[in-house]
Amino acid sequence: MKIVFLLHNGYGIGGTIKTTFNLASALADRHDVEIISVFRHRAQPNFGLGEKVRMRHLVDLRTEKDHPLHTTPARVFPTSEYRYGQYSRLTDQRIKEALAGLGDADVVIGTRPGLNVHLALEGPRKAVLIGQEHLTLLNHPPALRGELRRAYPKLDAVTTVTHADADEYRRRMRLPGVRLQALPNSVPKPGLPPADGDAKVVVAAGRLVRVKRYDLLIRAFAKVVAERPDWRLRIYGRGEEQEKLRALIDELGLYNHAFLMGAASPMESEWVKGSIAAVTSNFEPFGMTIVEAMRCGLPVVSTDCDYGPGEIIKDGVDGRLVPVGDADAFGDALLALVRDDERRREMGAAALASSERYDPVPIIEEAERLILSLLEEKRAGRARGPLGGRVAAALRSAPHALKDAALGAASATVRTVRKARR
Amino acid sequence: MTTAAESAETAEGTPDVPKDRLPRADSLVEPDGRLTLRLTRLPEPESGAPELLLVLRPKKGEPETETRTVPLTRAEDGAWAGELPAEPPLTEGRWDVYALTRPDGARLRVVPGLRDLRELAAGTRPDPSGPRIAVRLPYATKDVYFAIRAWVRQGHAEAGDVHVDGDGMTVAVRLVGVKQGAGAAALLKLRGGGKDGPVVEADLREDGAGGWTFTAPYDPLVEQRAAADGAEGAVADEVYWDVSLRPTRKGARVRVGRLLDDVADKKPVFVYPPAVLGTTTVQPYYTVDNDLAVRVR
Repeated sequence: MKIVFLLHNGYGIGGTIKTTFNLASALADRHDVEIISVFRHRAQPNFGLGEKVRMRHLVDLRTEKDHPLHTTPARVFPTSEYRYGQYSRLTDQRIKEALAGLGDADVVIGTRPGLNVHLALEGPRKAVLIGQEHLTLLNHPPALRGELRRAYPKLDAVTTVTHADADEYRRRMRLPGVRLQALPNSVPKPGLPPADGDAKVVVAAGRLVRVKRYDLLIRAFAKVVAERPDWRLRIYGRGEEQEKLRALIDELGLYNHAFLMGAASPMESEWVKGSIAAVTSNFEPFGMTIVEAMRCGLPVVSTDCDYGPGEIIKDGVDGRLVPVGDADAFGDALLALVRDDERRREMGAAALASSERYDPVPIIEEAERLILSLLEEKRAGRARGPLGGRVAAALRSAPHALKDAALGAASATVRTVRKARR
Repeated sequence: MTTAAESAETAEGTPDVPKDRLPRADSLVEPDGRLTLRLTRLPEPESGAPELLLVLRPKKGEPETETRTVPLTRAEDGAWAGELPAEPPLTEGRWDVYALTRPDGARLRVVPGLRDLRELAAGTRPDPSGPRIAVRLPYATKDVYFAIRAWVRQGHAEAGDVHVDGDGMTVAVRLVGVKQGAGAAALLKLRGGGKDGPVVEADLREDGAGGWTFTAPYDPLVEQRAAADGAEGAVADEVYWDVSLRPTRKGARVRVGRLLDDVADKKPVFVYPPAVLGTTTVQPYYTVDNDLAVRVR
């Protein structure tokens, strides 16, 4: 099969890029796999990509930033999408051309809402078209939900990364004939032995942005240091919060205990230097780092935020789930594992075992089953559900659609005003 | 189609080298301190076994002075394995790593794979009770090639926690290869001050756990700056004081630095708060060589 992924920027850093690389690399053992990266801004990708996967870009920001079409706002990419500002007439044009040139593709997979809209409108009709949702429906602005509601019925399937989000799609969107399925991110088995649970180090990894709440982690860790000053915290990643976090570390006098390590790739070499992993996010559509850490044998203390952590971690068995935004509770949960070597090691072993379900092999098999059954359906003449089902789906989601339309109109107005100010 | 070897050779040193085709080195510091390497994606040698070539990075524009080779043997899984012997130690500096797979000696750069440095992370390797330290630390260069940093010190003072307050810094150190005796002191020496330049001394105190601490006051650093300000001529925007230690009254100085863990570049990671004294800001930091220094501006 020829499988093509459409990705925002394969040269950046983030969970979507990493999981797309993982999936693409694993599929490439048996299939012809290509990644189309809309943007490119540097010579080499940050994450490792399987040797058999080809990646090409559509717009090279190093040379085409000032292209006249790139300074003209996009018309196809939805205005309500988070990354609208980065897209343009140039991306409209290049994405359309790229999709038109995929006549030989069996499957084309979009990896973010705006690209899924492109796919729905311009994807090769012979191919199976899958829109991946790596964020969550409920977190989308109402106007975006409205756009997706219009475009997504033209897709063959929408995949979410959690069951909870798939349920939201079923409840709120009228997508007759579109397969909805949760397809979690996969994480390959690390290439080095798991952590032994002895290191007095707590590890966290992610972009240093507000939503990750590393401020809360540092405050929580102060509680650990007060009782166990021999423990250290390492936060890997870079981002706009760096200076604020540095100031907080200084303010709390933790500069010998909490360290901003910078970005690290591959992260698995770093996870194994710790014996507890920490995730303090307000929001994790999935939570790749949770699975990564567990695959390295670390129990993860995580906030119980929407939606990933609760589907990955079994509280008290292979990790801990703590209420969102509660530094005190988070510190207590860390301390419980810091104090109890045996429990920490047990939980680490449990995490190692339970995280095997995110190995690429079962996830890829699931993805392949989905793709094959969609292909069969498509070749059988796009036999879709009976009309009765469609009407029922429409009736179920109608109130949500109305509400989003109203809110969407309101927020579109706000956005117009903001744009004018820019 | 060009092979990886050809394209890398013709494009050596240029950013167009396809990194995902270059040989990849996994490195492992074993529990006994040995440094073993595992190479994948190595082109099949035309004859014999491939080797790794380590090149001590010369200053920009200067010729190479030192190289070392590491033989590779075929591992069971088809990869190539090698070990970087502890003796003789690598000269202090940065060693770039190349693969040699062809009789003409063409070099192929190596990219970093997994670096399993957990043994170093605990900060107890190499055995700090030995007569000298020789540190080998595999790392990824800024442009993401595989390289090894090395330090060799006949005597060394390994910095631990650094506590900063408004008027000075207190540094915990472990002595390696030297013994403390009468007249021992920490020394802050003005960089570029010459042989008889300004030096600030601080006494060593036992910390009760086999280590030592010293407290260096900031006042003398601020006063030196004020004096320089009052003198004739231009004053540098900032000056630096390098921190070393005299184990006995007559003993040779050793640098105070942080070499015995897994962090290749300390400067951005171990960061200490600045202290503001009047119009002067004083801040301890690690140099690019991971030695402790104090910046005054």
